[in-house]
Amino acid sequence: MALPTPRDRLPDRAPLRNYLLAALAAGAVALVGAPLLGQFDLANIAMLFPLAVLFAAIRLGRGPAVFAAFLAVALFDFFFVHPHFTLAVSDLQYLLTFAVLLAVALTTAELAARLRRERDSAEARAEEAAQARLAADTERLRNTLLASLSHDLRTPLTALAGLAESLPLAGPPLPPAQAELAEAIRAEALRTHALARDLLDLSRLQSGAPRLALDWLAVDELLGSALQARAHALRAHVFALELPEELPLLHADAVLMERVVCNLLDNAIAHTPEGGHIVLAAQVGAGWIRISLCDDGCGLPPGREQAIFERFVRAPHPRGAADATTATGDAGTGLGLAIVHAIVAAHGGSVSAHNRAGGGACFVLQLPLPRQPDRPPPEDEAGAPPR
Amino acid sequence: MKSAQPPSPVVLLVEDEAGIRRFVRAALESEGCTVREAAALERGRIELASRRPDLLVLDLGLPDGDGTALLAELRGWSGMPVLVLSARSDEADKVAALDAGADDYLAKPFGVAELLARVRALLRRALRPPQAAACIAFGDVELDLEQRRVTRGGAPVHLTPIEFRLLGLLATAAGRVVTQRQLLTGTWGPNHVEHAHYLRVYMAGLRRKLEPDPRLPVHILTEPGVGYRLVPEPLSAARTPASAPPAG
Repeated sequence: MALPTPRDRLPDRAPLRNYLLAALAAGAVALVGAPLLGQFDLANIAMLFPLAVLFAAIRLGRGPAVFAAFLAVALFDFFFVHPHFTLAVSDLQYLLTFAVLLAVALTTAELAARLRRERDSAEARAEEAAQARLAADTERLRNTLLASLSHDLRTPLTALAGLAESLPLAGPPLPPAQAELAEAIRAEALRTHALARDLLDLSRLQSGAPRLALDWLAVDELLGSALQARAHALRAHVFALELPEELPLLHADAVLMERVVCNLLDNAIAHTPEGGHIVLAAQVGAGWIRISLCDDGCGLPPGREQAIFERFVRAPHPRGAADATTATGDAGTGLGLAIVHAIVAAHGGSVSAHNRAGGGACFVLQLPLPRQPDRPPPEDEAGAPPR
Repeated sequence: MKSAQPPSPVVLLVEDEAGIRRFVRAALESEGCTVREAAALERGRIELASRRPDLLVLDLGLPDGDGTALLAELRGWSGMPVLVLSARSDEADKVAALDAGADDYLAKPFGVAELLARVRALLRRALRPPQAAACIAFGDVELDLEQRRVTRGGAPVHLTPIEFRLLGLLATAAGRVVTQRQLLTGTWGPNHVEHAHYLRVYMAGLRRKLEPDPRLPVHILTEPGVGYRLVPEPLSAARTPASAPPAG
């Protein structure tokens, strides 16, 4: 399918060439009409001129057609109406011929130009629809592919991790060295699973318009469930939660937002030595909420504060990646912060990172707050809730 | 040590991946269960009808169809507990399975300890006479559904009727997840399934009254995108592989 060139599209302003062609068309009609003078009625010769206008309207655009209409009247007057070769008119009845000729020519020009416009816009609409269909098909194909790839990777990795974990269940207890190997197999399977999941999620998130399952979320509930999920990994750190008394509701995808908080927690845990401090706090302003996670760990490489949100960029690690992996089960793919960035952006928010004056790093999420929904109706204390 | 007294619970496992069947079987047998396997829906149907298992562990993505279809059929004639295994990351699939009658779900990859904790909770409910469920305790809270009484550390706690109804729904499913839709329908009626923010308000109230630290709850847990779960014993204990099998 050929792409439309600008020439095929509506020529709103016809080039000079088209006016010239329109003039030639009118001239050609005059040339054809000249030998007929004397044999044909003048009124019939006049009928030839709208042909030139019609041609101009269809092929050259509205401007050249109008030009051809006026030129036709002038040529008719000049060559065919007595006295010849002047624009003077001896018989006033020809003024009527001119008027009708001009009206027919201009109407023809207008009608033909409108038809042409409609054809062009119909073509453009069909083109747009085809493009949209193609985009939707591509998106559907991509999502189907991602979903089946995700299934095909997760299933064997689940089996691998589970088989390694159930090794001791199948017979007598394993000697320590073998138990350690089985545990290493399980951890590697989980890590591979996390990497596959992160890659697929990231490509889904970056596919243009990711699907969000928007719902009302309580901020403290969101933070609480993320902390619950990371409770085990956080045991070695001094953790504090600093939230204002009243927190608004977010309108966001619950699963993705929990992922954001978990990824930031994983990152803080991985870069803060045991016994270090991690503080999760929230601040509410007019129309926004800011959630910050600060630690007193090794901080960010100076000048790289924004680069860490790119794929596969990892800050140097105080304890080695292997440690981070066993701490949280699935950290260290190098995609965690890129996923945070993509999810927050999909929600119309922003995320930034900076080093603290006293050492350590801070990550700050800012999310827009929508108009809060109506509170539930007050309860009738004695009886059933209102229906 | 193992609760291997006869009759041992019979678990039917419908899963197409041989590796997963293998380790789930090993885990369940270590728990004293008798395991029957099916690799596809069709075989699962036959086993369900002929064996009448105590528990069904069902994979959603099977070669000959969707596990949710089998679940819907089963719910036509049996209330046996069903644990769904899902490799799909989409929460909507889990919610659909739960709303179609599944009792709980596990997302792949899952560990042996998680699997056993869920299976124990489901079997406990299935094998226990229903009237025993009227009294439930978690942390220092005791809940008597029949007397409509809640105490915390022995002192009575005042709950509003809606709070009590929500807590009742969670408590009768103790250990299992209850979807947002089930909670909204069960409390406010079927016309309020869109009112998720009501749940946020009332869950915050329940946690304030019943949790040791309402901001870091250990009993009334949120399952993002799915619903809520009342966990009688804190999860850290349930996750420890060496935790004792359930009494009785």
